[in-house]
Amino acid sequence: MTARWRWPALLVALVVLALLLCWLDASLFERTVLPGSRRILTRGDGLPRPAGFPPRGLGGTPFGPFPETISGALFSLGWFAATALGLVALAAAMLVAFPARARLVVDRLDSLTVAGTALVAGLATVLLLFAFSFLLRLTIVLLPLAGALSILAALGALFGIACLALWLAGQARLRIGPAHPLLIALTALVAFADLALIPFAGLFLLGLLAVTGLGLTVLTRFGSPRGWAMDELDW
Amino acid sequence: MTQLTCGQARPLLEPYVDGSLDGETAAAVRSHLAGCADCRNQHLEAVSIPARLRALTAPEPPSDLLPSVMAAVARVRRPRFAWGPLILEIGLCALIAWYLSGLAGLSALFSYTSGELSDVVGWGLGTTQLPAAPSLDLLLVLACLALVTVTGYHLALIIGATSEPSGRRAGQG
Repeated sequence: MTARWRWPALLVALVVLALLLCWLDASLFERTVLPGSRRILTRGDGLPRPAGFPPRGLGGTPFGPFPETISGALFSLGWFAATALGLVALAAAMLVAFPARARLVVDRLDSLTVAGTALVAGLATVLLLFAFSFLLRLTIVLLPLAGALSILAALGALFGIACLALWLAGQARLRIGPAHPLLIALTALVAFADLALIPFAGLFLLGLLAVTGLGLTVLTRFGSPRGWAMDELDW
Repeated sequence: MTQLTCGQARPLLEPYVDGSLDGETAAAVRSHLAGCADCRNQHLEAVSIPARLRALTAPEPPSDLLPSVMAAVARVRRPRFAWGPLILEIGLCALIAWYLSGLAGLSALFSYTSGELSDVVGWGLGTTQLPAAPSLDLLLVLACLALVTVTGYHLALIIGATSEPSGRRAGQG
């Protein structure tokens, strides 16, 4: 395969893998994690079943039987797929909106030690946010500030995940070859989405990525060229 | 003794200053310089450069040169203590979780907070009443204050240690 088609082929393979993982998730979700979730996810319950639909299930799938109703199965599948697509789209939007800042963060991410430090910083930030939100709750009127801080932290985590994907893309680019930077970054983001879609473990992996990403964002002051130095104020 | 033109004399000025010309050529250059003001100025300039160079002495290095060079080329210092305060933070979290009766209590607290946040936003929009302030639980407040302090100090330590090289680079730039 020529170098030109390697990245698109990898992207397509990862997207197919993501869809299969969504299928697996949808299949396992209703049977194991939330047996009662059918009430939430199934929109067909209580409605007359459309003509031609099988009364129970769809038969065998590579990962076991589908949930009992087709509407529930498709809803679960769509929920997982939409969540993964949302993660990829939002992170890619971060890269498009702040390319220079993302590049600066990746430049700082030169070793696993930095990644470990970012993980610790992310954990400390999450705990700080938790405790601070509880203290804000006591004032009641300042409680919306906790909501705003949580949204800010979520955006920071998203930016950090995008930067981690860009770092992974840079490593892969050395092996696979050059391509359009957005295509490479998108492929890395889909790889992260695949990780997040692994049943059961995916949630923890996504949490780990998000916390590390938040830590990276905090450490680099959102990819600021001078970090936390306040030289700009001293003119 | 041959008379030199300016065009002939100019290339000979440098060897003349260095003293590498033979006697007759040197005399011819000397004679030309005596009658040509332009070449005399050129000669003075040529003479002054080696004189200035000889006058130069090696400047005394500043006393902090060696430490500053060593600091600039030192390996980026990674915070070895990055993981240390995390133990205290996890301990405080465990205390809070124990006090709130585990995950169920934590999720209940989260649920109350979300509900109150929604009510406060509604109050801001004029659709609901302002919810009552929750009762003050001193141990929980103290634990949260301690957690805020420890995590804030921890973050400051990590940020200070990791942004030092960048600040140094900024200072050099």
